[in-house]
Amino acid sequence: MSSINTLRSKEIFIIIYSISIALTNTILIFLGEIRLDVYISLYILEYYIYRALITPLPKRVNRYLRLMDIGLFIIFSIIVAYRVIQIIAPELLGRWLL
Amino acid sequence: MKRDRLKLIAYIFIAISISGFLTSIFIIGYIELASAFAGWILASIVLAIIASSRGAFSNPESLIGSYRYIIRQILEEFNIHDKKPYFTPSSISGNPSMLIPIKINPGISKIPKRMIILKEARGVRLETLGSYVLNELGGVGEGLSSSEDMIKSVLTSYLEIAKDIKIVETGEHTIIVKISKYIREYIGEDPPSVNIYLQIIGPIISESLNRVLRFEDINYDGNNMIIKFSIMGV
Repeated sequence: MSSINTLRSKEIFIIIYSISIALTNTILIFLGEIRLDVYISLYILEYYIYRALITPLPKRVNRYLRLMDIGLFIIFSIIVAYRVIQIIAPELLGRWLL
Repeated sequence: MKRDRLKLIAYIFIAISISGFLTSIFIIGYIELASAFAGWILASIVLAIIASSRGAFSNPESLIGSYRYIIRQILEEFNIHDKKPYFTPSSISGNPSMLIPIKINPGISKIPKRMIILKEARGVRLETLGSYVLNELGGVGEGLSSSEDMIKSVLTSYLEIAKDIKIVETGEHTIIVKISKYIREYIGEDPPSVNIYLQIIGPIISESLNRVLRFEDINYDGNNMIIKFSIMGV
């Protein structure tokens, strides 16, 4: 039953995700946010939210998106790790970056 | 073709957004602009993934081709490939089916599983792609509008083998189905009983009306296909 009723789920996914990115970007710019990692981590969070909400996607789309899930998870982990190190050991970060 | 174009657009978006992102970070040094490009990169990658998928079927041409081949073989075997098919609802045939008659009376009440050798009917019963769709979806609502919705989503979104579908019922118990932008390669020189569109549409309409439908004729008008059915037992 679900497979045909959710035919357009892939289109819904891209439309909602693009709108969310545009809205997030606009709101953060208005809030004066200048940290790039905040923008990117919010985009990634939105991606995971829509990934969870908009299902099922066609098998082939799902397979490729799974690769993207892993890639974005790595990026998100790097951002989180960067922020954590910045708080608990900023001198270490300074040494690494220099 | 449309999908390839979309894929190309997605790749162009990815290229523009990556170069915009790098330029805004390393040359202009403007974080707000870089963040917008970062979002664009993500959305473009998702678009590229979606554009590269072919929906539920990874290769509909070969699947439809083999399906047509099998149906044609069966009908030729029984020497009934040039006969006009009937479509029966589940109420009389267990599952919605296509019926290729050797002889049939309109008042038929119960149809056995495969071969029909009854007093009022003789022929072959086949469950087609339309029957499969109905089973998969758990049936169709009553009335032509329900069947139109279902046929539209199957042909335009799921299989992507038509642009639009219109179904109208005329006063003389005739149903006319207009399929816009059908794909000629999926029909070829097929007789009506092998026509993939007919096999999908027939059982769905028959089931939604709970009536036996008789295929009348099929006409091609440019990119449109017009199929005519008559409702039996009215």
